[in-house]
Amino acid sequence: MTDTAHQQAVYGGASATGQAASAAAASDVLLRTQDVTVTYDLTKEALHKTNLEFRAGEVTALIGPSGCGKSTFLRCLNLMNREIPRCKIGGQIFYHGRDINTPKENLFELRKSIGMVFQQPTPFRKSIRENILFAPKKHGRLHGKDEEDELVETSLRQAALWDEVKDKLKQSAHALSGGQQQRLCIARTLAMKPDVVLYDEPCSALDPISTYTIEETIRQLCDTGLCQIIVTHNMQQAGRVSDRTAFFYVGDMVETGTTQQIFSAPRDQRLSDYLTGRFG
Amino acid sequence: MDNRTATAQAPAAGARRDLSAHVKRIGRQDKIATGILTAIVAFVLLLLAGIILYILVRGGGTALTPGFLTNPSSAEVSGILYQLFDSFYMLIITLLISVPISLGGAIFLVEYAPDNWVTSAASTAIETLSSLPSIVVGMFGSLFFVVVMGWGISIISGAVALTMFNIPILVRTIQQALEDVPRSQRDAALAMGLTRWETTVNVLLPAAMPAIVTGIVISAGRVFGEAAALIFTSGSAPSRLNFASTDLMSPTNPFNIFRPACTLAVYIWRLTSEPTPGSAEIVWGTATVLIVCVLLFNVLARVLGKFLARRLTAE
Amino acid sequence: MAKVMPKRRLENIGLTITGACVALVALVVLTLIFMVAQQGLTTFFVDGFDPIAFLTGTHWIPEQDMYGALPMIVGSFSVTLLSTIIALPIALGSAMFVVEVAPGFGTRVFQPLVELLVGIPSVVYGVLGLYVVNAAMRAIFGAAAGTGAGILSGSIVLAVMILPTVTTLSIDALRAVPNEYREGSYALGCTRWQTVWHVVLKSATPSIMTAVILGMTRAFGETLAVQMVIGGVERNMPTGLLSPASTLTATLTSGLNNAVSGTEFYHALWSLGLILLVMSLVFILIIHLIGRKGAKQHG
Repeated sequence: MTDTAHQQAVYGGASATGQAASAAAASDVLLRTQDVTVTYDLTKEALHKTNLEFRAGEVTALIGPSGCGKSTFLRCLNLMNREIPRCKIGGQIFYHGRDINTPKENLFELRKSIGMVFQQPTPFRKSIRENILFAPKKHGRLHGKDEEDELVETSLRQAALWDEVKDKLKQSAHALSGGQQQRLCIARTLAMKPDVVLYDEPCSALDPISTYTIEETIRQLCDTGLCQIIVTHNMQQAGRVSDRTAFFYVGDMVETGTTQQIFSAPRDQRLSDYLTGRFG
Repeated sequence: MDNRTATAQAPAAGARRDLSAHVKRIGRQDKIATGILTAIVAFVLLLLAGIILYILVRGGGTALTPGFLTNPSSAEVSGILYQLFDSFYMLIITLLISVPISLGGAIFLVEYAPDNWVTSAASTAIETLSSLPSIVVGMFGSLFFVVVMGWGISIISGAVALTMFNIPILVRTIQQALEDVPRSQRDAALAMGLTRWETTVNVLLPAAMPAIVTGIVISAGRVFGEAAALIFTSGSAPSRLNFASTDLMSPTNPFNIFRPACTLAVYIWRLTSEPTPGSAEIVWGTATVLIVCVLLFNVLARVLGKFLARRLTAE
Repeated sequence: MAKVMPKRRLENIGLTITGACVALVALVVLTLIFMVAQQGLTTFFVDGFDPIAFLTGTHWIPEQDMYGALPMIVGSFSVTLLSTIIALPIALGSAMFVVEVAPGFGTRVFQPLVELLVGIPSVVYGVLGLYVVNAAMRAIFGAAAGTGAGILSGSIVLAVMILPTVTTLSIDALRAVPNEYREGSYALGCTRWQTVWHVVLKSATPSIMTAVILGMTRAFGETLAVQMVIGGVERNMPTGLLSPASTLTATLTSGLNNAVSGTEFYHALWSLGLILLVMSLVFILIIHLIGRKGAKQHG
């Protein structure tokens, strides 16, 4: 628990600090989607009218068989789908109560506070330190070396990587192992001080031990009031890591609820079939 | 293949004998085919070796004659110093113009290009440029750059004509190099709220640098040997240079970009179309120098590319 | 506070700068097409020559105001076709060897060497043609070959020049055939040759055709090497493979040297340039059509 307390203390940024504040924040709906629909090539619908809420301090898992639209949905939340040609996002996405799915939305500002971690670890061809500092520098957030050092240490500690790399911050990030690279990517995202972090199957390229470390990290980050959303095809992982779960099937969000309810008392036939391994 | 299925299905012993004969036949066919293919490859390699060795043997003597590389063509031992200088100077000016434009164009096509007719028209334009005969580019240059723009028969007219010839090659290599950077790198940078511009400059270009540098050097080899686009834009008369000149506008100042120039390749063309006694030896000597330069560019491209790639992964 | 430009502005600047580069290139290409068309059409609309007579005229004698482009058109097409016919079997054969028989040797040794051939400047090929190929023609055909300059010499030189292009692209085409096709064929007990001939070549045909067309584009537009070996005779129609002839590019090169701008001769030369331009556009169109057809076949 002391570890967690420490992390809360160092995680200043966009969300609240301290136990009480984070408890209050836990019920805040940070992100809400209303009738979000995604179409490719104008006609192919990849996601149909999805309504979901995401709260601060909670981990939500998006599960479902491959091709069910869970990653597509995740990529709507920071409007990454806008980077794909001929991909259209319909409906409304409320972030702090404001609809962000408008042409006027400043993507650059938005993505500063909604971070994303990808399936494959994607460290840049720079040193570990530069990987952390790259984006904050480009956003003009850092003043002076002390502040830089502090940010590098805090973010790496939050991602449980500090002890392993503190002596080789100047080395290439590509020299790290796959699991370390992925934690570096988490650290890099946290360095932006976001209040929402999206994970797109963050462990699917990793070994079990690295997976375990990352799941631990995600659980601990919860206590800082961070809103985390994780796409996974691994149901056990969803069970271990998430507070709430949403089940997607062929472009539809079929069922959502607390993780416990979803796993112990699924209402929809397709979900229980999926959970019992009839398909997927 | 049909006949094989048919034979395989037939149960009679005769058919079985047929089959073994057939197998023997296709086995022999396979051996003969492989033999022919090997012979073809051997022929191509011999041809390549023959071409390069022949040039080096015919022209090596002249090229190594003292003074050939260091004398102007008017000297007693006629040399190619000015042509050599003109070739490199023209190359540098061409690269100075064509590399930034190609970089910009490639970045636009890979990163920014909206998916509409404007973009497809632009890439068709670049494709058209790549298939244009260089003499058409030269002819256009002789009217547009030389007359309309008023640059005269000059290094700058020639360099711009060469740029037109070089841009499609460069755009394609740079485009390829950028596309070969894993998409995830680009997405990761964009997901941190960075612009495409920052992503390209800070993430994609460094990762693509080895391939880009290799491409630029290889294209430099092509530009170095190009002549048809130059004859009517930068001229074919051997230059007279005064390396002591300080007046940048003087026609004898080597660095004046508004003076005519004659590169190695153009010089060869001129000597073969207007032969004089003894010009054949100079032609072969110049061809040797040209070939050696182009080969060096090729080697340089590979070495530089490998070196950069190694530095990139090592750091 | 570290100064940082607002992201939207930075993005607009990036878009403008790179877009300007593309726009500049497109503008230059448009200017080129416009200018060649304008100058080239002057022959017909201002100087009053009949376009059909220009294209079918069999004599090109500027001193007598006779401008018939057929000798050069025939010359250009015959050297292009003949060089393709010479180069194609060699290119395909080496591509098959490199991809199917000895892949390691192909990527490590053969391809880098063949790329050296691409780098050899066309004037150097011209010099080789002038001193070696023409001499060989004289040695083989004796008096019938005259100086040795002619369509055959031009085609041989061009064949060597387009060989690397066609070979490299054919190698790519064969490599692109999925390995499952080969494994499927081997699993049926087919020999390597049967596999290559019936399976690999067949599915690579569209890409190989593209390779051939690109080689032809290069041959058609090649200038100095051809001009140096073909003999440069455009007065009359070529009579045989050994007779000196000319191509559009060759006549253009020698003609522009002594044409005075604004004269009929000058405009007629631009008309030849226009034919070259139109032909290269046609080649691009063919490549696009092949590409589209290939895409349709493969879904």
